[in-house]
Amino acid sequence: MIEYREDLRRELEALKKKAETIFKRAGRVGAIDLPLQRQGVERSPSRIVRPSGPLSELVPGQPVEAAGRGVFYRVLAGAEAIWQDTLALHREYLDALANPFQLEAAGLEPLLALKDLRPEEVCYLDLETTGLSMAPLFLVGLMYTDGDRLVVDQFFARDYTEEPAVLGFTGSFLERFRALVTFNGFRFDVPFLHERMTIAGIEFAEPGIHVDLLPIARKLLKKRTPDHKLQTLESFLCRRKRIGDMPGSEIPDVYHEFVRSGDAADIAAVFHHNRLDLLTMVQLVTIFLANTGEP
Amino acid sequence: MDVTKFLKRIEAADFYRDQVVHKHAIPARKARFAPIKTPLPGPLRDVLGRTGIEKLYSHQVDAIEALRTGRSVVIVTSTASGKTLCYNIPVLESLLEDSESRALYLFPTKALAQDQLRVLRRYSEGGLQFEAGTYDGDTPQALRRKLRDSARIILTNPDMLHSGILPNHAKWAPFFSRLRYVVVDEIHTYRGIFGSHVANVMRRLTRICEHYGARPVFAASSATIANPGEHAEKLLGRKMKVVARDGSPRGRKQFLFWNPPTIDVQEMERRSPNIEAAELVAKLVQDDVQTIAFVRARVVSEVITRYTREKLGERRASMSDAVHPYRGGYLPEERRAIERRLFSGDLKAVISTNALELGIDVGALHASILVGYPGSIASTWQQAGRAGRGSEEALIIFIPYNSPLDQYLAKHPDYFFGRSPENAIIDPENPHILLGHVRAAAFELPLGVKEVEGMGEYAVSIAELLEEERELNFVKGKWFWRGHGYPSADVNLRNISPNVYTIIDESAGNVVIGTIDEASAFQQVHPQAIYLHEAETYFVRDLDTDKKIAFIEKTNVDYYTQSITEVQVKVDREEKSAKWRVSEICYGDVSVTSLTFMFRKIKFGSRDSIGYGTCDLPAQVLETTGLWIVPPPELLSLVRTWGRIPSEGLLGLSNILREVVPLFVMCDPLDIGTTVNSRSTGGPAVYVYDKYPGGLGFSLKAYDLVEEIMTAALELIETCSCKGGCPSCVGSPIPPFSQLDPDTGAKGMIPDKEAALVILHGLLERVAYKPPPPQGRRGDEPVERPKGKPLPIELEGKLREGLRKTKERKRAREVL
Repeated sequence: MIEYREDLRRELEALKKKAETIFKRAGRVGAIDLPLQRQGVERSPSRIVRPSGPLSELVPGQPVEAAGRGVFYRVLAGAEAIWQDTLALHREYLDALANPFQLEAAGLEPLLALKDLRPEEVCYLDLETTGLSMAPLFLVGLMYTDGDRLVVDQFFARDYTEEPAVLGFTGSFLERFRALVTFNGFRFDVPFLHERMTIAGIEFAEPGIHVDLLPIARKLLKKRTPDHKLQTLESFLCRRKRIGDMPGSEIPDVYHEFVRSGDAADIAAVFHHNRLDLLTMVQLVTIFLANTGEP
Repeated sequence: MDVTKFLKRIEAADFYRDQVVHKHAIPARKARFAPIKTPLPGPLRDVLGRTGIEKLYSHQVDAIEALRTGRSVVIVTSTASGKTLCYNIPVLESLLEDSESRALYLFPTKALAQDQLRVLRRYSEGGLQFEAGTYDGDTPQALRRKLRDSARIILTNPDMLHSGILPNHAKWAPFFSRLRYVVVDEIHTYRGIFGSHVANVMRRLTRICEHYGARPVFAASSATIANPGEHAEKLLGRKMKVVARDGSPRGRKQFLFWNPPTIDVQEMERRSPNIEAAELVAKLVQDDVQTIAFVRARVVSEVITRYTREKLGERRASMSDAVHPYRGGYLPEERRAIERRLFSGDLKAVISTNALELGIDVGALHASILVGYPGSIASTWQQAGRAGRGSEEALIIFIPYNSPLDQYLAKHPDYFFGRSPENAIIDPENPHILLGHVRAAAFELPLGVKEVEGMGEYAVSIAELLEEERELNFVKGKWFWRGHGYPSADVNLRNISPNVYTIIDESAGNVVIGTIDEASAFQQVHPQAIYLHEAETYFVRDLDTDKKIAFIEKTNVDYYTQSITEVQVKVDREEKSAKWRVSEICYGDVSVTSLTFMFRKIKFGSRDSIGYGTCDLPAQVLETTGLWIVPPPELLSLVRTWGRIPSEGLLGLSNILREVVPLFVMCDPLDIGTTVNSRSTGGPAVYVYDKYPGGLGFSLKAYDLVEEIMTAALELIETCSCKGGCPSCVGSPIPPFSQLDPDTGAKGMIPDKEAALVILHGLLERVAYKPPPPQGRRGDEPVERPKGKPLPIELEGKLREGLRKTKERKRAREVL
């Protein structure tokens, strides 16, 4: 445990120095402060009491009509609402994307695919579902840049009958992007989306480019982190701490209870969980891109 | 074969002692062909022509034309009448006409699916070019995706459909959306609990097809049962056209009743039916007549093979390998090898359990020998139908055991030939069964109110119950699954324990030579047992109940073993009770305990009991629900006054209940158990229990219907034309399979019909029945009985229990 931490600490310090040089070279002072210590995730006691209330109050959004497939609930907001530092992160992200870097080395090759794209053509995607397969999904979380800032765009099925609307809208909305970035999307999110589309009878083709961050992280970090879960990477690489986060295993039941009772207290936490996951993915790409790839 | 010539030779043989007690000829029938309306596509006609099919029988044309117009069909014609062509032709035609269409074939066993795949391969290799494959537990993962995506015909079983295919329907979406035909073969095997489950699986299948926009046509086939149309409609949930007018030719069938000769002065003992069978098989093999002998227990297939080989070896050593046992418990490769040898004609005779009763194609056999009554009329005709293909003459021989039922049949051939085959009963709406399928169906796709209402009268309440349990959510008129995991994994379609033991031969370097289910393992491979495999003797060194392995080693001994298992019913908790007329009727939790406690060594040939040993095995307990009726002591005294034994009458009553109760509670006779026991009740009580862990509601329903059930039982006995009881009334129904060699068991007798009548009249408060005096007694007046002080209930129970045990153990040690 101590050993790989020391190892990682040295590596991250070197990485930080390099990143600073890059940022300086780009004419800006590095605003991203790479964490050197693992940030603890504060697990809330499982029966945390969250304020009750209807969805419209706790998670303000709009009902949206998806052509011919009914209505769903859309929550669209600037990412700064999640974390005050997102404006800075956005700048670093755009900068990292725009900068030519040596991705050829160190297992970062898949990120090459993003090189020739406009930042607005890249979309981050994370699904919240009620099971691992053959179970409805209820939240499609997207994050992308509109040029000025990072945007969180969440499509939510207020009950199971709104899933087809979410799927239909997702399918046509994704057409504007050329690349999808996911975490474990090769194995989970994208096949799952296809499965749901098939069951709903919707023709679907995802953007031509799909970058899955999980295999990249695996190759990059190997055994230097205890595992390669998104939150582990977050705690080692991003300077954020999750407080009162909803554990993934509880999410299906939270949704089913929301459908039954209409109380949005817990589902609001799932929305937040989804946004944090998306944000971490953007942050990971920024950090990976800042790596010059030298040993 | 030339039956007359063979008979002549047999009657001249030195072992002939007038065994043929009855001859019954089933006349030959000419083929009836019919023209097909729209000619078949050229390539299909060519392929059929190459396999020798130029014309179609009338029933084939009936089925094909109906299927072509989109009508679902059930085909009920004899074995070897070309049933598979009835559905293969329209399916192949649809594959040729529509390059996208798909078909799903369901078989009750994996072996049948493989057998039919071989048939389909002949067409695909013969020029039709399509992909087909079996998709079941044996299909390698790597192959599954390919089959889903590109196979035009998938062959599988209901279990795989239930637990593997339907819950993953999205992966199968292209297949389901193009599904034109569903073939369900051998539907008579889907009855009772199993059939009720399968009926629900078929409803789920239909729902998934509809979701993907397909409305497949169903083609079903069945062996002869009393209610094929009704059964098919209930099983498949749709209107079915019955095609039963058989157009295939049939050769003359000579049916012989071969009763082994008596060997003692009192004419009580008979020669061993196993040896008689071996004698006949050997003679037939020598005459180059390919023969199948059907037996009721696995051990018997081994014993008869051994005897036959000995006889053939005496005559011509080279022939002894021409006969082979065939049964469950052999490894699949071994079974395939035997089937192939039989098909090629290399194997001259096979001694089989009912494992070969289903339609595995083993080619034309000329003689079929039924060693013991197979337990049902339907099975009898299935097994008899294995002999005689085309217009050739065939021989069928029934050899009864020296048991009351078999001997009854031997003496009443009219009963045998006159009785119609059994009904197949299913109850898809049984709430216990339905529950699992409501969960599974909701997981697959949300369930609309109409759909749930269509699943059965209690289905809505079941859905609401699942809602309360947080397994379903009701949203905008539909129930959605919200539970955890895969609910279909919680339902086992077949009422059998999933525990399977492996049998390891230590003397051959620890190779697995077979498998055996748990219940049979205790009875057949207990330590010190002699286990028979390919007619060779193996000594069981150890039975490891944790690892589920039997360790055996090859040993050359001249005996085999037969275990003795005692079955006890005990009341665990009385849930309700009522006064029903003069008796007390109760319902509650009961446990049925089977304990294999000792075994006997039986010498080959002479059947002499040459020793015994004890078994130290844990008891196997079935915890279930049951009802029990305690008749009033006065009624039992009344039976005594007529010089008859009350427990005999109760036994007869319990036997008839096994026939009657299923009709009222909608199950198969094998799904319930009935018995007489006094352990928990002091005086003897008649029990009816569900043969299913936890119960399935059969006995509860019977508790509520006791008046109707008992009235029907009385009517059945009263109207039965037999004299002293027969298999249709108080005689015990024979299970279709048994653990033991019937040749070595206790003989017993048919329970007393008259005593049963006295009891039923009393229970139903009818005018007292006056039975004829028992044989050997004069006069018809009741005998005065002394009035003694009645025993306290607990004491009476204990005394009866002790007596029964003493008698059982004594009988076990008895030298035959």
